[in-house]
Amino acid sequence: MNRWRDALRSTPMRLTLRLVVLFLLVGSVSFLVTWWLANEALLSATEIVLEQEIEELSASGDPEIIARAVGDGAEQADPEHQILRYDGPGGPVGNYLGPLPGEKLRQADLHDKGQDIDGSYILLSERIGEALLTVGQDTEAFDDLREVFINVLLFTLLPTAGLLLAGGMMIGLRSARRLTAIEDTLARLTSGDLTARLPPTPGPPDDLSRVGAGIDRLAAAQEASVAALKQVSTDIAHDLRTPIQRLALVLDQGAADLPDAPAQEVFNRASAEIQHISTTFDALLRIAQIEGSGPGQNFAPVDLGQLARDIAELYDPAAQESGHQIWLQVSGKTIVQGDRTLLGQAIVNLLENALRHSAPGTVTLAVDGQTLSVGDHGPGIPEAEREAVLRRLYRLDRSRNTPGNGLGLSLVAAIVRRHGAELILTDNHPGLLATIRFSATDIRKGVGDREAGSAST
Amino acid sequence: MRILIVEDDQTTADYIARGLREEGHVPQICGNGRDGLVTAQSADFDVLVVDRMLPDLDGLSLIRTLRSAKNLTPAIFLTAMGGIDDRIEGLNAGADDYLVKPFAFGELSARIQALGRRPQMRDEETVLMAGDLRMDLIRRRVTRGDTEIELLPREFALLECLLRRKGRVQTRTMLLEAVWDLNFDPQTNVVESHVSRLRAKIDKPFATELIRTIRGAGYRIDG
Repeated sequence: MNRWRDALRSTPMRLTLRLVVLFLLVGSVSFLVTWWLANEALLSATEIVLEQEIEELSASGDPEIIARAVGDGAEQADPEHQILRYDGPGGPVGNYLGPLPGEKLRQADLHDKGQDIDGSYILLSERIGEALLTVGQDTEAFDDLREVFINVLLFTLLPTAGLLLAGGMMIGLRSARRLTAIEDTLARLTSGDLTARLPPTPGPPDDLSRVGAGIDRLAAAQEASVAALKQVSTDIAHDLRTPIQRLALVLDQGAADLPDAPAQEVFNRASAEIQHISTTFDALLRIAQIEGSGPGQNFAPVDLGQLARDIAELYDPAAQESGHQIWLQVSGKTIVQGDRTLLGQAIVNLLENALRHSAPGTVTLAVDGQTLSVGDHGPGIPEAEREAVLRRLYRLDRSRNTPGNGLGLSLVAAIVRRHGAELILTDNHPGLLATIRFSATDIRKGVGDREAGSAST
Repeated sequence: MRILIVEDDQTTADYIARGLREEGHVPQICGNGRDGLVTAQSADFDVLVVDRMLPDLDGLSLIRTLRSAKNLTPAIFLTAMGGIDDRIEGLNAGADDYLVKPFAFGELSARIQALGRRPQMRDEETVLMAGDLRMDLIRRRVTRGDTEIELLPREFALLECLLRRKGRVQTRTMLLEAVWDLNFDPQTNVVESHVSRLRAKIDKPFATELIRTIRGAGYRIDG
């Protein structure tokens, strides 16, 4: 699950993991040292006991008395816990007569089936004259000590590490949730929804909530400036359009009032110029609006193939008049979530560009899967300028004298961006191939409220 | 027709009123939204021309208030905002048509005509006629006199649109909206090309021309 993976990768979880590893390392080392020290203390205590035993047994110094004392002691002693042996002149006496490894104090594994000896013992041997007196004790005390230490280890160190890990995971999950919320908010802000804000987090403020508050402040500032910009463009739109409107009406009236044709022609030309001004003005405003707005509220499923078919049909006679032929290729059914009017505008702009800038011949309009493309066999756009033509009012040198305002492609680019799609300009060998590629997730995604632009008179 | 113009820009309102008067209409002007609303409710108008941005009460609220009071007088919005969602917003509020400033007077006049007079041919009409032209919508046959005329589907739709609003001007953008369901201004003469193809079939071979070009406005078929 993503949530757990995100939590595992979160900063608190990473810090916790490091802390746990460090804790286990330090804990284990100190544990081992303590155990070693305790073990040493126990060993020296055992040695003292064994030495006393040897002293008692060998107090007489007479080998025979020693042998007898050892023999008596061995009879009473439980060989599982205590070993007594005397290698005197009369041969070995004791409860263990098997081979004795080494000398002095040592730990050794002894086996003697007959005497029920099978295990580890601490042995101390001492020479008394020619003879060798050996006493031993089982290692039960050491086993107990080890067990205690292992228990302590199991019941303190490991649970603590486990608790730390669980705590880290919880904090990690929590911070992952908060980071996801931050990411979601940033994604919404990036996609143009400037009203997006972080959900409030419970508890006292921390570093994350400080970052969050910063993001919220940034978003609020951005929203305010966009709102101000919108207000300004609305004001400009109103204040500029009103006089343009007056002028248009004056010219209309003038043309109607004038009796002679040549003067009317002048007025009509002036009207056409006004129309051009307002078209350019509209296109600029629209680009600004499209770029400044979030995902469309009026997005609805649009049949791209049908739209292309309609537009190809609409342009067919005009294209034929200019010696062009529109070759329509629609394969399969492509439904995209979008604004029909805007998408139509984009297709029309691409098509009009193709018809305007290419010599008589074939212009291709194709819809295939997630792409819509318009290809011509005109002069194309030099590779170095393909980015630039998407900028507002940019015109190639050679097209300065052809009609157009240098906004067609930038409007297409803005529309394409609003639809989360991509506009790709490539070489059509020869000519320009403009492709709009919609993202797979946009195809058939969601249900819109109504199809934009379907309301006609 | 009695036409109410609710427009705060005096000059624009005056020019519209003058143009409409010359066409034989009876225009009346209101300079702000509140007066507009009161006037629209107090008298029986044929068409309302309402600016979207108005002092006191904006056009959108004006139309909404009228519609909620069951006043269904056809209304055209005029707007200085050519926004992408504005059109839909305006139509949703209850306006019947929408014009972005600056518009040509011919466009406004044609749209007022289209809204004002109730269609002479009702929707259930199955045969449309103009002069010796006869259009059978059920059998999808078009004849002029005794001659049968073959039309492509879109030419048929275009002719039907012109015939249904016989005697009234249809502008290029109106035809584009009605026949192709597209609303934007093409920079190319696309509608003209379609009309001239239609003309080649229904007018050229015959003595009288039915489709008339109205300069600076659009096309009209006279009955």
